[in-house]
Amino acid sequence: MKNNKLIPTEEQRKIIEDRGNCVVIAAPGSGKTFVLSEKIKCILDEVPDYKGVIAISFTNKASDELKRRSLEGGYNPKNSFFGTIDSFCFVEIIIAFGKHIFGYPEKEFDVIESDKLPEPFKQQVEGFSEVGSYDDLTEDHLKVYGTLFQKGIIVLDSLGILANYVFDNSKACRLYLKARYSHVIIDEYQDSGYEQHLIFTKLADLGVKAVAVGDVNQAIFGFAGKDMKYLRSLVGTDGFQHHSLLTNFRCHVSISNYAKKFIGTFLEGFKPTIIETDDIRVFEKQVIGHEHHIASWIDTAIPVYCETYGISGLGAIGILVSSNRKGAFFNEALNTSSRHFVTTDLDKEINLWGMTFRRLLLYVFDPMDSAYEIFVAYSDIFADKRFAKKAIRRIEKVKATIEEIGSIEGLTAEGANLEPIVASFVDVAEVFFSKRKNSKAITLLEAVLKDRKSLESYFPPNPDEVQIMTFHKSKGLEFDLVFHLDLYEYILPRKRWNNGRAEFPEFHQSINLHYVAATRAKKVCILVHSTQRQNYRNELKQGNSSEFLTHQKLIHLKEIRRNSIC
Amino acid sequence: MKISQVKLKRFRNFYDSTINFNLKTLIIGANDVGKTNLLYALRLLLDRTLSEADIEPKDSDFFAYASDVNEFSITLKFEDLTDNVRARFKENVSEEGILFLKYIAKRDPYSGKKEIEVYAGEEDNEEKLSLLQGRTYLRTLNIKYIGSNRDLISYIKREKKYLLQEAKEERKPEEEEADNKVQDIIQEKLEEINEEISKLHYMKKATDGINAELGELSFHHETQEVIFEVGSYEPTTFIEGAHLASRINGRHLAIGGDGRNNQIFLSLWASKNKMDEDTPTETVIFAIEEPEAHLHPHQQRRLAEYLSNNLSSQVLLTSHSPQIACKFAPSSIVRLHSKKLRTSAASEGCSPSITNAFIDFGHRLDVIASEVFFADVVFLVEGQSEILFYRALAEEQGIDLDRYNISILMADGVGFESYIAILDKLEIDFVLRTDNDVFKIPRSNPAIYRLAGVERAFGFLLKYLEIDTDNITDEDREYYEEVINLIDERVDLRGFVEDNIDDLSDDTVEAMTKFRDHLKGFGFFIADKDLEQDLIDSPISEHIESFIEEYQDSKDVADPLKAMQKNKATFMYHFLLKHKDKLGELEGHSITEPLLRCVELSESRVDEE
Repeated sequence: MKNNKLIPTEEQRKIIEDRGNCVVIAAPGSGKTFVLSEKIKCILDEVPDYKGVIAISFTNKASDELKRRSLEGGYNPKNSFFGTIDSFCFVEIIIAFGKHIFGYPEKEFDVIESDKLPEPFKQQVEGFSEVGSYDDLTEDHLKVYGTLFQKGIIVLDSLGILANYVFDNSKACRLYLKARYSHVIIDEYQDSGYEQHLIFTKLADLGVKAVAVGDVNQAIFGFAGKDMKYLRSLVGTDGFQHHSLLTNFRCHVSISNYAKKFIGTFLEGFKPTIIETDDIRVFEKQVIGHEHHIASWIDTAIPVYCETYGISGLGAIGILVSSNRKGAFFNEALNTSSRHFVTTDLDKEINLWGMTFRRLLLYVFDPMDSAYEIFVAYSDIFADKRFAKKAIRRIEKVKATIEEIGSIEGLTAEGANLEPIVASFVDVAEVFFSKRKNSKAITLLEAVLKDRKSLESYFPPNPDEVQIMTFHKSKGLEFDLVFHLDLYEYILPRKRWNNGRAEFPEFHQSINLHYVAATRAKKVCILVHSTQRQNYRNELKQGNSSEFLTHQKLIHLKEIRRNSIC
Repeated sequence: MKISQVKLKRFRNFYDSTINFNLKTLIIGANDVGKTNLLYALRLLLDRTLSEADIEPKDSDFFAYASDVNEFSITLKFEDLTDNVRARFKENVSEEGILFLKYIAKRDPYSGKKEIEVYAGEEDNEEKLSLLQGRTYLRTLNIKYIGSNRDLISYIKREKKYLLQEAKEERKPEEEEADNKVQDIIQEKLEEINEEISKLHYMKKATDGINAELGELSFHHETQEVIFEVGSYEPTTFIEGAHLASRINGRHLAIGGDGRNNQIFLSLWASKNKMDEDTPTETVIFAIEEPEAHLHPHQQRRLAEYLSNNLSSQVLLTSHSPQIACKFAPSSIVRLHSKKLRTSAASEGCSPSITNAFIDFGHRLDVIASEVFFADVVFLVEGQSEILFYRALAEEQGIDLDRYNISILMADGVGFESYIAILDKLEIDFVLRTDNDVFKIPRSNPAIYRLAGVERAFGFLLKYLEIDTDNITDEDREYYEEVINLIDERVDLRGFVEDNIDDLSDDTVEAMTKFRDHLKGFGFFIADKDLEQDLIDSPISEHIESFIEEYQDSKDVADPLKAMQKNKATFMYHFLLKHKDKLGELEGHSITEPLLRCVELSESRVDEE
């Protein structure tokens, strides 16, 4: 975001200048870290030396980055805290004020996973770990946690619960936090658990100004899903100003305008600001015919667009479709060299273990990737040297275990022993996210390992091949040129008839998919549909254009190319 | 925020003392009692100007009058914490909002090697104190100390620079421009003046020699010469050489007297520190020793008010000045005293019980507080004539009251009882002497009398010993058996019939003597009758009688004794003026006993155990 370092945009300025409680919904590439670091700088300018901000990031890497940018230019951090929520709960609440409640510990604290506890505590804790919520905390739990505390042991899974308990029962703790911190800023709020959400709202109640930042990609998903209910609940909370940060600086301004306006049109609560431009790079193309005609049209259009917009190579082009079936079809039908990256069920899993497995699969097949990269992305404050060694060793072991098999053929062969490989993946996930153990993600991983096509979808792309994949799979990637296909009625957004009435199941997810797909394009985004389309039974149907394309508010933000070659 | 309590164990002359402070606290006590040591204890933990080397303990810091003292400690208790202190000390602040800081010094008895540890904690016990890496909290919390031997002149000079600098920085652009113009004019005038000066014959002659030599040494710089000049050619240097001067009605007065400098010093200092208070990052406690130095009483009072009103933080003052003492609420006065070479604070320092004791004084507080606070032993008497008499007697007997720090105060108007309560709270030893009044019980016929003086004094004693006659505890009985036995005999002091009250019956005298002897043991002396009558019955009766005759002649009064009783003080004044030297004859007489007891008490304070 070097271009906006000097002058924040209107959208960004509002957030930087808001000194009250607020919720920010930010799009990737919208300068979120820039806005947060500028906001922190402004706050640090205003507060006395003994005060500071609590800046919570999801990983240590993100925290280091936020800290570096916030203190850039020799800013005095004053009495600020940068770190993860776990480290905050541990350092600022539990070990500091827990002793006012549970008594003084006999030794320095160790944070231990519940299965590593000495008996009889292991059995006791495992007996009630299923409950795992602050609301369900009982006297029996407290007795065990209190005894462990006095022995200098904190159960990793209990950090959030204990932090809430200490917060509620220590006046000194509350006065301390209020005295020391003027703001609490939590990034990636959509990943917040219940206890973190409680701590955040309690700090706000104390008078510490609270800022929650959510990722729009996930947030849109989440506004429908239950995991994001905390972020959603803040949007409706009194005293919380709602801001959105949707201008995507990676994308051409016209693409960003289109995406923002799209969100603003279909989701309540978003009031995007549009940056005026005459240079429109969002095109709507209607192909006469069906999918075969689309493939031919793409073959002819690619060289023209590459020429006109200076697109570096086929590897910078993405063709985004609604399903693996469509992906496979276009991979066959195109004359331009292409590769189809299959979307696995693992790709759709938003759980942290699923995320870790995907990341490990990419690492396994990419010779340019390193275990260290993964470590710094996922580690948090408890990452001491010993931990780092252990984590990196485990990550490297994943690669070594797969390489031992020798080939993809061997891996996917009937009767191959996947157990040690899965175990090596689980070992890594456990080292980073022991609390989020997820057996579904393990099943999905096994499915990927058994299927050659699925495995290949994690191979690094070839710069001479157009990449074909689903909207889902494209999340987090970027292309110079995107052909956004399947913009048909019934397909996107999903629609069905029920007793003569149109219904849109998974409407929010549909919005998210279109938003994600469109914003993968940095230079040009082409929204493609055709007069006919094939359904899943390969029957030819009339192709009506998607409701997203025909909406009046969006029409002026794209250029419609109906009959010209391109 | 304030230090509410200090505990000193084996530090210098404090064996084991607890001293409470208020937001504004005055620390008083005799010289060498340990006022500066008390403040030094605070400074070891809180003074930024003491270096790490300075806070290393010295052998003289360990309590010297007991064996095997190889450790001393200083514990400070803080209350009403400011946010910056809370933010700094985190879990070391208790749920009740209390913070302790502790300094422990240890000495190896064999090698003599010493080490210190500094702790912070929510409670003053080993488990709850956490070891600190030195005094890293000083940026947050510290003490600003002004010693009594402050260097006024160099401080004022130094501060003057800051004053000018600050004023310069606060100028508006147009003011700065105008100033620059004036400075140019000054520059011109300066050059002119220097020019004129060099024309003075003696100025010129004085430098002729040097210039000749200079010419010899550096022939190629022949144009260079040395001259005297009045100031620099650089106008700012000249301007900033300005002295602070007082202007009274437009006339200049040079500032020079120590008193004036002291005022300037403190006002400069207070204004500077008041400015600092706006930045809440630093919590400062002020400790000022003897702010009254070189000032006369009115100004001392003004200064005391000024310091406590202008600094919103905690202010600890030490003083020898009754003028300053009377500006403090009694509950905010810490009276240090030393017994058996161990210093402690009366009633453990600031305490509401002291105020309660003072309530009876009402508006007379100003007058009384001054004397009371500063004495080691107080001799309470009935009135002005006793004060005059005993002062003179002491002088004639070779007793230096000031040296023993004995104050003679009159109970007149206030009453003995109130005094006793205060002296008790302030832990000041006292002796009292009261008249042996005999009163007729009203409307009794035939006349029935009571020994009102003795009875009253006995009442004082019971109150002083805190014996509740309706509820006598076993403890009371154990300690004060004889006194308690007397309670029942109190009836003997009243309701007796006498033909002549100037010549009491044997039974009455016996009862009275018994009480008087006991009371004397506690320093409660009862006159044979009253001072005047006792003197008439004393070895100097001759002189008194002849003086009365003279007095009668000169004043032409009908009944001299009556006149004497009526204007006791005036009489005593005139008598002493003439016959003071005769008081030596009273040596060994019961009338001098209370005075000797005072001396004994004063001496016992300094005796070693």
